[in-house]
Amino acid sequence: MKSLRYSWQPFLKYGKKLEFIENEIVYHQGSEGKGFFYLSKGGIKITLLSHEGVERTVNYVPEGMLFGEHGARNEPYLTSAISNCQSEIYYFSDEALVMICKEHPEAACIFTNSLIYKFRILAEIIAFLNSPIEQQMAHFLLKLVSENGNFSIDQTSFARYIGTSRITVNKILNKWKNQQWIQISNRTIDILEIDRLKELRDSSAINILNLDVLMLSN
Amino acid sequence: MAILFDSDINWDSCLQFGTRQFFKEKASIYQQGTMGDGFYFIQKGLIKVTTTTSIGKERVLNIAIPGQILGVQAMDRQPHFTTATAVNDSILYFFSCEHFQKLIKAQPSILNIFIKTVIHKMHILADKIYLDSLTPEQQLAVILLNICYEFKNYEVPLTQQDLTKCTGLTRITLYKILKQWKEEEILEIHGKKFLIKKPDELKKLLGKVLI
Repeated sequence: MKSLRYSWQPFLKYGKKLEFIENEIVYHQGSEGKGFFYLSKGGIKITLLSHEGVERTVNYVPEGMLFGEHGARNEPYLTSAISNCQSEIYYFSDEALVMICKEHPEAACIFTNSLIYKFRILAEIIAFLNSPIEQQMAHFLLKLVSENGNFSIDQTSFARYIGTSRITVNKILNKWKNQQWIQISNRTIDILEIDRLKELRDSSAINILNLDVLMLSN
Repeated sequence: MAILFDSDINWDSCLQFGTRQFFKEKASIYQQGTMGDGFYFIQKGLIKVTTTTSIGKERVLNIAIPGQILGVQAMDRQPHFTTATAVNDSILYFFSCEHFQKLIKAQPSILNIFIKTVIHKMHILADKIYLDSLTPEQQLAVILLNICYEFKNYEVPLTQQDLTKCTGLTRITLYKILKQWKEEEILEIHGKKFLIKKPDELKKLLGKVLI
């Protein structure tokens, strides 16, 4: 998975460079797919809206990754993508993809692997659906930190990522803070006891194998 | 999942790149957690795709039918996160990652099928995130609609026995639901096939348009 990051960089010249300010929508769930994107600089949040109107964050895209691959071939976008901060993005149409694959056959594999990775992210959320919230939080926190370095996130956003209430998140974070597993300052969560969190994450009746492969880097 | 009937791909010429494999009823094709190294094309039979959650509960994600490809999600040479089991005796063609590279060169349009297959499966998973605890009716509706999506013409080539095996519902529960749907003219049963007359009713049952 590590190899996915920045692997699309050689093909940026086929894309169209776009600038987004904070809180701008890159693509909207349900709208007709017009192609896919690459995050060069900045941050993108991926959200999924249920039919009841509940929004859940499914991913924070790290720099150097593709996103919105599910909008290829005119398929409707499965999620929405919103910029977290000022971002530099490259846009690729279906024609661009065909052209890239023609001139660089290895790009087809990078694209499918990246798409499959997004598929795995959804599977991962499902695998944790019935787990205790504390275990889910441990997993997603480890993931955020390993993918993005120390990650700046407020408790409301974190709650949306886990699919729970801010109060629950607050309680558990405070508990971890008191146990000195983490340290919280300026919306940034620092992990002090990574092994404790890993233990908690793996403490289910059935271990989900190879969880680390779901992360981009360790 | 893209069905290959409506594609311009000539699978007969592709099959030479794969290896023919036979699976008996209930045989495992791949298991959650084992490493992937390719994908399968289903020539004959029905394949049940399930996943086990962290609390050990099995969920049916999908049923794959002849003409479809299976197991693409582990083409990145990472562990499978689903388990595929033959519902009845099945014939599959296996294509390794290396075969896939050759195939793409010989038939570039296979990449589109690939992309469509993965995207369709992503939609199934995204729905699962919200349709956590389904009633038996909803479970059945999901499975029938997913299969419909492949066939476009709302004909589902499954027997009641197949559906029992696939959903894990009891024969009696299944019979009751189907009887009710028949009375409401949502579907018709013709021998080994279901004809779905009112797919929108099934979608309504799920509370939203699934596909």
